[in-house]
Amino acid sequence: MEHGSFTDNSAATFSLTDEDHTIANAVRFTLNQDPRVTFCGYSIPHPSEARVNIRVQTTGDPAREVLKDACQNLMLMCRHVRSTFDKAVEDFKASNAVKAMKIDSQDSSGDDSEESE
Amino acid sequence: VRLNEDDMEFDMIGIDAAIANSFRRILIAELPTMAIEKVLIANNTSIIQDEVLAHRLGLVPIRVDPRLFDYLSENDQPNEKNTVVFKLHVQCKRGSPRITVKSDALKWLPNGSELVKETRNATSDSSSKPETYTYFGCSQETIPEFVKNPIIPKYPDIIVAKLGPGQEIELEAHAVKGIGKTHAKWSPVATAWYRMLPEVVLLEDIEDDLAEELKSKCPVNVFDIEDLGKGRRRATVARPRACTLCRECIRGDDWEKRVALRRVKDHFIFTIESTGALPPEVLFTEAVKILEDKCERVITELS
Repeated sequence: MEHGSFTDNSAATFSLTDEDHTIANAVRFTLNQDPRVTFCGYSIPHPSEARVNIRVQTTGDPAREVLKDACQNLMLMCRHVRSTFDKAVEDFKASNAVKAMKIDSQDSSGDDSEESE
Repeated sequence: VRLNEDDMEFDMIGIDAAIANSFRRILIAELPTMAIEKVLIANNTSIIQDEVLAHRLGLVPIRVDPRLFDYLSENDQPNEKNTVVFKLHVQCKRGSPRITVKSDALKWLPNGSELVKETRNATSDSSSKPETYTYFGCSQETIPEFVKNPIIPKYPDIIVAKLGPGQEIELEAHAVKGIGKTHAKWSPVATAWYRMLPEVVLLEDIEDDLAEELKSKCPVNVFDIEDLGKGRRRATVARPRACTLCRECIRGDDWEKRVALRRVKDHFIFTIESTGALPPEVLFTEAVKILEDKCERVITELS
């Protein structure tokens, strides 16, 4: 749901139902990184009602597009986090498996393997 | 950094507090799990009230992958795709001592409910199978994931009730999928938190006696002494990660000018403790996926 004026679509307030700080704060952060945005903020009108108002004011571009771009950026960030995390977990498991094998095949007075991370 | 079956600790560098908090909120409140929701009590002569017993059963974590199941909504019928049925039948015979009912007494029923519903008309359908409370099309044992791993509670030693002689509990529990927002029993993590990496900066060179004093002040041994040669010693920050920011090192007269305690703004140390349904690294991956799905929903609503 978007509340704006019909003539000026560079500033608008978007009202999202069934959302809370989880997504609103993340979207607000990505909006702030966008250079086209002059003002962005979010508010929760009443805590008992799951509704979030996100206000976007831009330097001329339609606010709807800017918000969409911010959400796309957030999705890209999530994907990057996910892939980096998966790779880090794999590396960790691999290095742990190697350490376990080394410990098995060494004597009790073995020295530590070197720190990789 | 650390990864066990049940908990894990890792560092996230270069992310912002808003996103880190979003991940933490999703891990606690919006990752689905299976937990016991409906308890059909056939017989309860113990001193534990029905509702208290049902509440305790709901909080027992179940070792099953919630991604294999669907949500059960109001008008759906409970079938093998959205319900897991457990049975609990314990009896304490007269003359035997008091017994403690632990969570390993919950038996999984892969064929669905065994309690028979009362049908109104005596001349119901000609099928000889009585109607039960669930409508399982096929046995859950046939699902490949469950062939080798039966569904059991994660921890078999959770005390559910205590029975005196002559008391009996007979009930059936249905577990469904839900998220932590509706009730905390559906939260897949015992807890999840993050902290920012502390940064300890020595503003001036601290030498000799002051260095020894600094090192002995810190309760977690963040500082170390290094020898500079010619008998002079200097304090260095060896383990900033262990610092708990107790501020013990800046107590006293002039220490505030020599040591600065700060936090690195974009380095987060996440710790996730899972209750056991899913391993913690899977939980985090699912949480990131859920954030992506939320974004996508917003995008589709906008366009």
